[in-house]
Amino acid sequence: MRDLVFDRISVVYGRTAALTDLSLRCPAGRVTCMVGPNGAGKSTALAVAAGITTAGCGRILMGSREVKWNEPVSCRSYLPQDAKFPKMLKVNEVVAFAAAITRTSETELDDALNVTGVREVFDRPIGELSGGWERRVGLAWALLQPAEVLILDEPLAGLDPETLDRVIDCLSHRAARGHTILMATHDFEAVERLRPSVAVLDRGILIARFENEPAPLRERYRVALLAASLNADVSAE
Amino acid sequence: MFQQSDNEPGSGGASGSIGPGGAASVSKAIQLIARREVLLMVRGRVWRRILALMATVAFLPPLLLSLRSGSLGLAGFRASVALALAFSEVALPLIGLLVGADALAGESEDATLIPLAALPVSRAAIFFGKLAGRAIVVAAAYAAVFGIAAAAILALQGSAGWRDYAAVGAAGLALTLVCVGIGIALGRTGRGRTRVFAAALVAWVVMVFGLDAIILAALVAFAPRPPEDAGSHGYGEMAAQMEMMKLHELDYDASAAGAANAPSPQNPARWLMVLDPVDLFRFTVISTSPTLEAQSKSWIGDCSPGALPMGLAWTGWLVMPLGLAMRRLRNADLH
Repeated sequence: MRDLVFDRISVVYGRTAALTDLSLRCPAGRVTCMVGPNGAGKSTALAVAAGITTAGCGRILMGSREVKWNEPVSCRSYLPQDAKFPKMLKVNEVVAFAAAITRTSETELDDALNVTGVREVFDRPIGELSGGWERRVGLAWALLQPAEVLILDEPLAGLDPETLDRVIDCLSHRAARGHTILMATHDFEAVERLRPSVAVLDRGILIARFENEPAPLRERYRVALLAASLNADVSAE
Repeated sequence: MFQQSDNEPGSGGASGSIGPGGAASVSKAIQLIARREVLLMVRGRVWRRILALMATVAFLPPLLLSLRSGSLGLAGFRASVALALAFSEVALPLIGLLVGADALAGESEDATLIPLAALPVSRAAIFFGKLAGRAIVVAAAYAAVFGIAAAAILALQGSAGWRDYAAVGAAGLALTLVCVGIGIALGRTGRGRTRVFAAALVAWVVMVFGLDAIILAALVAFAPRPPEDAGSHGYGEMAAQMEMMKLHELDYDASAAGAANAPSPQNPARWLMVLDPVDLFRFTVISTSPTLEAQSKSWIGDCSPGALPMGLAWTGWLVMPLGLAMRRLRNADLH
């Protein structure tokens, strides 16, 4: 069981600060949802945690160990926001490739395929799939990996209701097994079922953190954004 | 295609260390990525274009030269070798550069590199896997096309001069693979395909025309005075003579001219050839082909720097671009 920890992470693109001094602990055995408006820095934060992009300063820890940004890490699985796969490959080849690289067991592979339902399109080339199906292949790619830390960038976007239910159940089950799940999402209603720990980002800054709140997530989120906006106005004056 | 391991549930990375310990070994990962790359190339349109270009390089010289005898067929190895050399030194670098340039830039533009880079394999393994896949496809296409051409010539014209032709074939493969490496080094992630292909074309023009012309001019300028029996040409005519040798004096018989055994002074500018893989290719062929070596010596002196320096130069041209490309991929921000 490993917590995923952002320790004072800052990322700057040119003159734009994508993340500013982000410190966040994503506990093992819980789902942590990162929410915020477009451009808040959610995808950047997840990419830093996945080792795809480098932070200007700060560090990422898994458990007690610092992880270098481009270091291969077997206990981590990452689904990018817009995961793409080569159009010439068939779905079964894409899935089998990830399974072989990560030494996934048959059981884990079956679970991921059942949850995402991609067996239906197993023999079809990626280039012939709709956006929704390609999204499901991406989800299968991330879920089949025997990783303790799942970093998922908008995993629920574009899923039909049945698949959405199965994915939510799968994530809930994995959290119950002690896995650490960090996801960015805009789907408040769906993730409420996971009883997540929520981190609200706005303009690269962590503006609120709440969990197990009785009020609906959407309301809490709106209040957090409003409070941050008022604080910014007061600071400006 | 991709073999799945038969390990027990939970024996993967879930309970393992943070590092890549739970994932496939480095060699296995390279093998899997190379297979993926081979599939991508073979199913893409690139493969057919490579084959067409290589077939042109392999078959056009003997076809064109057979027309001199008034009928369409294939000329012999000895007659074809100089024109095959000229075709190869122009076409093979272009093939290699374009194949290499697309390796990382293509996947980066298609956004398929991010899921790959997020897997528990090192970026070095990704790099070497992709390189191996591309090298296998290019080498297989090259061996098939030139092998068929050689077999056809052998059947129709016999084996006279086969060593010269084999030298062009072997050195041509080395040149192509070196250019794949240079292409990969040019094809940085984050650049679009158009920019990367433009850079590859510029590199091709520099290698095949720019640097080549400068080095040939230096070789001619520093050429020692030719022996008396080689003629009384001025030095200014020597470059033209080299080209004529390639295009017209194709059936030149070195032993009949008495040049094969004639001692030739070494050209002091011969080391410059290591600066351009195309020149390195040309002089590797010349130094291993008795016919071409005799012709070359009679006009610009002994230009071979020796087997060891040429071997080192080939190694350098292979290792340096790949080292640069690997370093770039390792430090590439893919988000």
